[in-house]
Amino acid sequence: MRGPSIADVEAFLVDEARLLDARDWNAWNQLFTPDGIYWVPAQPGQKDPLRHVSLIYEDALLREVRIRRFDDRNAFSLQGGPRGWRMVANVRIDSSDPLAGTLTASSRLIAAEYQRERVTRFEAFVTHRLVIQEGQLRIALKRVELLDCDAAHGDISLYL
Amino acid sequence: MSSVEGLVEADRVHRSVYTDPVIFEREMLQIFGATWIYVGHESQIPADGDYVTTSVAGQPLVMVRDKGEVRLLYNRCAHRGAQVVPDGQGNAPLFRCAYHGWIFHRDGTVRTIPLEEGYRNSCFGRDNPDSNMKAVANVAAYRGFVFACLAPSAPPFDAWLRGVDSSIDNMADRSPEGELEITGGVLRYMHRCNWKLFVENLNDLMHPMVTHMSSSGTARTVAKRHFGKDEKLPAAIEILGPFTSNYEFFEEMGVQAFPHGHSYSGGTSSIHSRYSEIDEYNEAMDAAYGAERARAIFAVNRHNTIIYPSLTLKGPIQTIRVIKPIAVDRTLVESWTFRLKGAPDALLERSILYCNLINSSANLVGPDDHEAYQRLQSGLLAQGSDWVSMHRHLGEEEPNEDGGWSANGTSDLVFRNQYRAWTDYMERAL
Ligand SMILES: [Fe+2]
Repeated sequence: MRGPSIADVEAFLVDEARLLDARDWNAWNQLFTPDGIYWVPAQPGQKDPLRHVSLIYEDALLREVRIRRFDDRNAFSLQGGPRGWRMVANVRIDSSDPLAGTLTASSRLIAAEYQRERVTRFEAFVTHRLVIQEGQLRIALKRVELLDCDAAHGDISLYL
Repeated sequence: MSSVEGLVEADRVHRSVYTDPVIFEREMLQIFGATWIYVGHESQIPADGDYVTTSVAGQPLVMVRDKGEVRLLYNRCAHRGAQVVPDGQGNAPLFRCAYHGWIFHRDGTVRTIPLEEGYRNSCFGRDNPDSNMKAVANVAAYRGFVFACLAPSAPPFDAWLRGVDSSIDNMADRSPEGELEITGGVLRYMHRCNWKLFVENLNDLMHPMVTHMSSSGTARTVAKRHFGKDEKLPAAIEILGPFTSNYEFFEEMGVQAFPHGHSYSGGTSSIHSRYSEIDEYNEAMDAAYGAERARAIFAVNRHNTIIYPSLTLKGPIQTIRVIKPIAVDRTLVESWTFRLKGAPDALLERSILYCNLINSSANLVGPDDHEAYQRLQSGLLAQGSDWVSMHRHLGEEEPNEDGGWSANGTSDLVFRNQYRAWTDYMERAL
């Protein structure tokens, strides 16, 4: 049995980024497995998400809260509509287990967020833990380690 | 002559206190440079030689453990003025300046001066204190929380802390061993606003139900979709939900104000009082203190305590936020979490979750507060009115048992009290 090719994985990551660019949060969220996690650590190489703070560590329930908030007119900090743009590069499959239908892919991300005359740029090392469910790639974990994750930050409003 | 004369009245302040860079500079000198400012926790430097860099009023300091003692030095080489210890933490037997190689002991005294004989007849030499890294004039600690006062004469520490020392006590007493340990990293959130707007907001109990509707209100909606009425809710929902409690809830929490600008809100109830019980923890507390004393510790449940002007803490969830003013419209807020020594990890995990959800710059609650501060910072540039009113429930405060004043939760008492202290600090002769 053959696992997904590098081309499959690259296409998946680009499609994922395009969903975020398009603010299609619900379609993006459906890429996750039911217990999938979106993680933005606060420390380079951070291993522990439970006993060390993170910028974001979200399960399905918290993603649902955030995604609903994107459309909430009482989300004052989101007024003026932050919009974002992401570029994925240097994709590599670091490990894969075709029998289990799992693989880990790493990539580099350059992204920008714009709101009210201000552009914030992000550079990140991204790791995806992917699983094949019903013939589709699904995200079990997306870990976005910002280059400056341990620096002081202003608002980060979007998923990266 | 005082530059702040006429800017503060009993029930209102002039908008320039938030926007004038000259006033900001004076605050750094008269307040942050002249009273007790939180610099770190002793648990950050448990072993001899452990150090951590910190700052007060923009000045670089290094806190170091030397022969068991906590010392605080200006992080500046006596020679040309370079910062000696790079920002961060570590362990070092000695500090060596990267520029001309001067070496200092951990108490700041100079050990090595390269080509020392060339400095003869100058102020430099190993027997001359001018060659040492300078110690900060006043350092005091309460249950591990270390404060510094840069000015030569500091307010008497114990009297200064009175009224809010009990909030530190309650946080530490929640450990079965009575001790706290900073752990779990730090979130540093840069705010585009004056530091006072952040500090004032913490005990502003009329804002959460408005500002946090999109996060807390949405969390409640989502929880209703997934959980039945009597079902145990996930910790994240327990944390987010209470921010949109109604006005009555916050009114009843009450506020307490004390000399020197200190205050806390809540007392017997707060947004933290309804978190799920953790049996293993309760048993550890009962074993350590006896059931009655353990109940008494848990009966104290405060929302935000402000140890004015720099340290704010949340005892029931074991987090602190440290205020570092950068410029008149720029403030760094650091969030730290604590382990209750002797308590199960579940407590720390809840504190971490709380910090992630509330204090992270990428999360759901803090950014809406930040939005409010930014709107204040820009709104206050408008000349439609020069004054910010703090009149709500004026004159209805009553003395409390701890030497302060007590009022209903939505009173502006805390703001008026902060500006009483602010004016005292700003007008006194140093
Ligand atoms: Fe708030």
